[in-house]
Amino acid sequence: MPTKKRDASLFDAQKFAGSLAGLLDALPSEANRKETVSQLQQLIEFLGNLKSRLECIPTQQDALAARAAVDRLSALFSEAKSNPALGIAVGIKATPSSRKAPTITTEEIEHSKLAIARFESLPIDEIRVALERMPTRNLQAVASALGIRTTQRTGRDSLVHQVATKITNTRGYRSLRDGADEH
Amino acid sequence: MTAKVIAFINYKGGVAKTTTTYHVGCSLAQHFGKKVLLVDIDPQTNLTFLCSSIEDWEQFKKKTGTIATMYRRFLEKKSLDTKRFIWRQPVGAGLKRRIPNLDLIPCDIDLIGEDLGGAAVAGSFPALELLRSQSREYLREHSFLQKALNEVDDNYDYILIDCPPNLYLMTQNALVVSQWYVVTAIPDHLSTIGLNILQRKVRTIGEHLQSAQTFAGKSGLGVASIGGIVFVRVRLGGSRITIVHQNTMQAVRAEQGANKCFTARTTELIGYGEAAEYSLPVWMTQTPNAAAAAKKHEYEDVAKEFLQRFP
Repeated sequence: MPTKKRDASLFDAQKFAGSLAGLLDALPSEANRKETVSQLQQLIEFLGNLKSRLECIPTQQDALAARAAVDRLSALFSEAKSNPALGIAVGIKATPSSRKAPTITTEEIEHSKLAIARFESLPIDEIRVALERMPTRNLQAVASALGIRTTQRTGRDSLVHQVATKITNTRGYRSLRDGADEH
Repeated sequence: MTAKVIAFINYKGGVAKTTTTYHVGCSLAQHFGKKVLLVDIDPQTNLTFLCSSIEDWEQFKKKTGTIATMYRRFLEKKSLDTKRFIWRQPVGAGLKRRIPNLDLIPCDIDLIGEDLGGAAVAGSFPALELLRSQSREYLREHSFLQKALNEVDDNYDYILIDCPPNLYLMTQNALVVSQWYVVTAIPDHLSTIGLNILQRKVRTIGEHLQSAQTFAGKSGLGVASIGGIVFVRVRLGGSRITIVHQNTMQAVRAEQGANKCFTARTTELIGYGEAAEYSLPVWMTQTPNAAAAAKKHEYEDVAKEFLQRFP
């Protein structure tokens, strides 16, 4: 058994030397080593970039927050359009407010109430004709006296319709309520 | 029948049936060039008042009559002469630009007594011993609108019927003459729990009609199929639909089937009420709130989808 053991050791040493020679042959040249190190460096940089980009991708939570911010911004811009002071603050030229109705004086409203009282006794077609003959300013005053909200863009045609409908419908509802509609 | 006949129903009140019938009708006529006849069978007369001022309606009623007059003529077995009762282009009558191709058969409060008469309530049916004779009468009572609209349906693309918030005789008539019925619903708990009951009741009305036809030895009458559910008066929080309404709409879509529900919907806007005051659709009413509502084009979207569903 001991002899056999020694033989095996000798055999192993030879094999080791052979392997070592093979390994030495397989070692890279200086150029190869430099190239490999360089490629490894590039790979590290690539992975570093990838990591940074992944960190930049928004999550669903980020998207919700962004949407809320956009909604708030949109509301602010809408408000700024009709609010000159706010518009200047955020750098938006405020457009004239569509809600702004012409200013009617108290005297004009009182005068309009008299006209409305006269209309009360007229049939709807005659009210329309009378309103169509009115100057626009007076028509706007009548609308205002009736509590009709208008804009500067409300045309004469619409004003006449709204005033006539308001007067006759008020009268009509009163008539229905009082049972004058019985037949 | 040339025209497509669609009834807007829901036995629950305040669910924008009339506003929807009106705006869809106006949009079909004005934006899509369709010939439309609106039929008001709700004695509250709200569709009629959306189309005209009260005084114009009173004049028309005195001169011509309303659907209540037609129904009395029907009961008296006189000819209906439906064409005579059609109010041509009433919307925007006081304006230079009235809506073309949109006519109306107006209603009045007198229909309320008539509507409750006879075998009116859904679920009731003539006693067995009187079946044959009563079945004939039952069928006749249910064919009033069919008879009336058959006289004029060749002149229209669409006939839209605004039903009262019940399932009494007039609504049953509407279901008989219509090919489809559309249900309007606010997406909240109370407004949507009745959707299944409503559809079941409509099926029951159909079954009663079928039985009556069997006993009377007649055929040909049936009830409309469901054409869709439109969500109306959807509440917004800012620019988004509130969670409660979103959840209810999702639940209804899941239960009823997504196809049954219109994608287009309308929201709760002051402008609709403001426009109603002047008997005009929102896009023709020049007041601040109506103008804001008009910008959303909600009813145009519903009308567009309506055309896709009932081409």
